[in-house]
Order: sequence, then C-alpha cells, then structure tokens
Amino acid sequence: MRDDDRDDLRSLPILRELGVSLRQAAAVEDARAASAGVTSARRWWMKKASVVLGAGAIVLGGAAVSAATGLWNPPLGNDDAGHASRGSSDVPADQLASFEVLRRAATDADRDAAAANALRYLDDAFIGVRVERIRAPAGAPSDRYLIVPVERSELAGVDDALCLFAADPSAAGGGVGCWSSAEIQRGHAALIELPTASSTSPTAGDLDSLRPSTANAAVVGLVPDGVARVRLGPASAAVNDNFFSLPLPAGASATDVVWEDADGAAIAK
Amino acid sequence: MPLTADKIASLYDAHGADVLRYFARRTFDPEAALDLLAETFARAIADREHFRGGRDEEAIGWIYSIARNQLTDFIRRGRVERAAMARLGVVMRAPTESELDRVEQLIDLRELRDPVALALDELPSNHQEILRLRVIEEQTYKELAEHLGISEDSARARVSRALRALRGMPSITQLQEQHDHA
Repeated sequence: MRDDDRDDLRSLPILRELGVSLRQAAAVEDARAASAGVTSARRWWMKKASVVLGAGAIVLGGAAVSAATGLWNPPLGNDDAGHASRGSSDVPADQLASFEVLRRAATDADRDAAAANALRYLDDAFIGVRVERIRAPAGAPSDRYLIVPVERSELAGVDDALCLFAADPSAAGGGVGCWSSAEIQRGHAALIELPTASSTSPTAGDLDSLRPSTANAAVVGLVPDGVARVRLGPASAAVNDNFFSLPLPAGASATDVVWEDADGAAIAK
Repeated sequence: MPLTADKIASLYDAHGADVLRYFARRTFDPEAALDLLAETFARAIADREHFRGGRDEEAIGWIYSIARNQLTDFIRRGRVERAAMARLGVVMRAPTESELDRVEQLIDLRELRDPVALALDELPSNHQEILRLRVIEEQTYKELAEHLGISEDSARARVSRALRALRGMPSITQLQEQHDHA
C-alpha cells in the first residue's frame, strides 16, 4: 500500500476513533499491570490459578492435622504456560532458621487438591521449586494462600526466594509475590488485596506507592520468626506460620505494618 | 521485552491501515473488515503477555498471526467475535456510507475483475448481475441504484452479499494466495 493511501485511510474518522478507543483501553491495561507490580506472564497465571484455588476448603489455624509423609510429586506448570522446574536442593540453612513454617512437618493441608492444582500454574519463571517445603499457611483466612520456596524467581530476579500466592476467590484474578529472606526481614513481603465489585484482587509491588483509596482493602504477607503479632492502626492480628492478614485502612501503606514479639514489644525491621 | 498495551496502540497507528486492507481483501466485506481490525488489536492488547519477541517486526508478525486466526474464525462462524473488544471496552460505531466506500476500495475491485469474470457462471444468478455491473463494468452505487431501480443502500447491501459469496471460489482463493505470498 502506498504511503499516501495509508495516510488517507488513517484520516478516516472511524479508524481515528478506533485508535482513540484502543489507546484508552491500552492505558487502563498498562495501569492495571503496573499497579499489580507483576509481569504480564504472571497475570496470566493469576487468572488461571484463581479458577482452581477459589474452590478450595477453608483451612483454619488450630485444626488438628496429621503429618504428610513421603515424597510429594505434584505436576508443576502446564503445557500452555510452561513448566516450573523441580528443585534439587533444599532451602538454605539461614532461610530455614528464619522461617518456622519451612521447618515444620508438611501436613495434609499443605498438599491438598487446591495446593496441587495451584502448582499446575507455576510456569518457567519459577526455577527449582522446593516442593517438599511448600506450605499452606495455617491461620490464613482461607486456603487461598500458598508459600512456595524456589531456587530462583525470575519474577523477582531473586535467588532462594519465598513466594506467596493469593488466589482470587471470584476467579477474576489473583496475586503472587516472591522475595529474598533479606527482603522479608525488611518487611517487604506483602500483597495488597484491593476490593473490586465482586472480589478482592491481590496485588504485589511497590508497597509505598500502593495506598488504597478505598475501604475494605487488606494486606497479607510473610514475616520472619519472632514476629508474633502485626499491627496497623487500630487493627492487629496474630502471625501463624510466618503469615499474617490485616485490614488496610484507606491511605495506609503496607510498609506501615508494625511487628511485635510475643510480649507486645515492637520489633525493628 | 514485554509488549505493552500502549505499544500495541502505537502499532495500530502505524499498521492498522495495512491490517484493514488484509481483512478487506479476504472478506470482501468492509463492515466485517472493520470489525475484525478492531477485534484483532483489542485481542493483541488483551493477550499481550503471550508475545515472545522484542522487535517491532516480530510484534507486527504476531499481530498478523492474531489477524489470521480472527479471519479463520470469521469464515467458519460467519460473524466477528467481539469478545476482546467487550472485555477491554473498545468501542466502534457503525461506519458511514463514505467510510464503507473507502474500505471497499481496499478490496481493489479492478484486481477482482478477471477472477470474478471466471467465477461468474458459478454464482447464483442474483449475484451475477450485481457483480458484473459493479466489478466488471465498474458502476458506482448511484449508477447501480438507478440501473436496478433500488436505493443506494440496497445496492450496497446486494454487492456486499455477492462479494461475500465469492469467498472460497477457486479463482478468488488463488488470488488471495497470491496476496499472501506477495
């Protein structure tokens, strides 16, 4: 096609208007991806994973559980998104020493159908999944959450990362974040859940910049051993399995979460 | 390098006219071509995470692969799916007559003259006359309307239906394959 012919076509009002509509949609999509703070490939995973995880049963802290024994060999990834690789190493000693959830024996709840199904959506950005250390945190408000240690997270560009998955129960989305032990020690391991019309949409990213303007937002995250409670404004919650969940007041930041030891004393990050 | 939605919108600005021409010359249906153009770029924005590449040429190639899939679906279903447009809120109003005329020019009716002449006998009689007048004798819609004693809108609709009936005919398919390899 000649350039002047192409220019003539571009001047067609309907094509110009379509361009405007596409650009508006593009701006919304890019803003959505930026606020999620995750790669677009991860967003694909989230949508798929939430479909599977959303149907799981609730796991509450204090429930009697039996230790799961034997090697666990769930499929990792899928043919469409790619397959995560299984790790050949155990978690590093310093990580094991810092997170009780990794030291405790695996339970049946850690390896239930919802967890196994979620692992089918670990694509090749998850390198060396340490399957034997995967845990569903006890005390989480539902079985939407899964802690997955990996030898490397291409998502975060971090070696020996701990990843936290949070599925959207409405199947409309979900979130994942991966952090190094040092980042968790600094209080960076959090997902913000922003309420939408019919669901929450878990989000990882620059926590300082994510100050929800709406009510009913929540923050879930990982903390190291020694943190017994977390507090944010008037809200406080116990930590179980190095995992916490708190309401996030409008305008607050997840980095404002205060850590406390068993005696109620503040812990420096 | 990830393909951003904004980048896809820029690719539309640069290449949308070419993609529209691609659809027009394969569907012989200006309205469908416009719908397919919109759905193709909306789908590219919605599915941008599936793009594996970095250069603009690769991005354009990927968009054309979406376009081919859209075209295949359109031919199989006989209608344009607007799923990605609906999901992203991309809207497109109904085209005006002058806009349809301009898109129809992309079909290049002169180039169709010989293949249509070859295929004419194989078409239903109601399509033969309208295509002979429009494609072979190159009558305008105004002339067509006067000749047939119908409105210009009706003439346009009859030409559109007759052009659609050309799809899949051997001489037309051969021409389209030449386009694909050009």
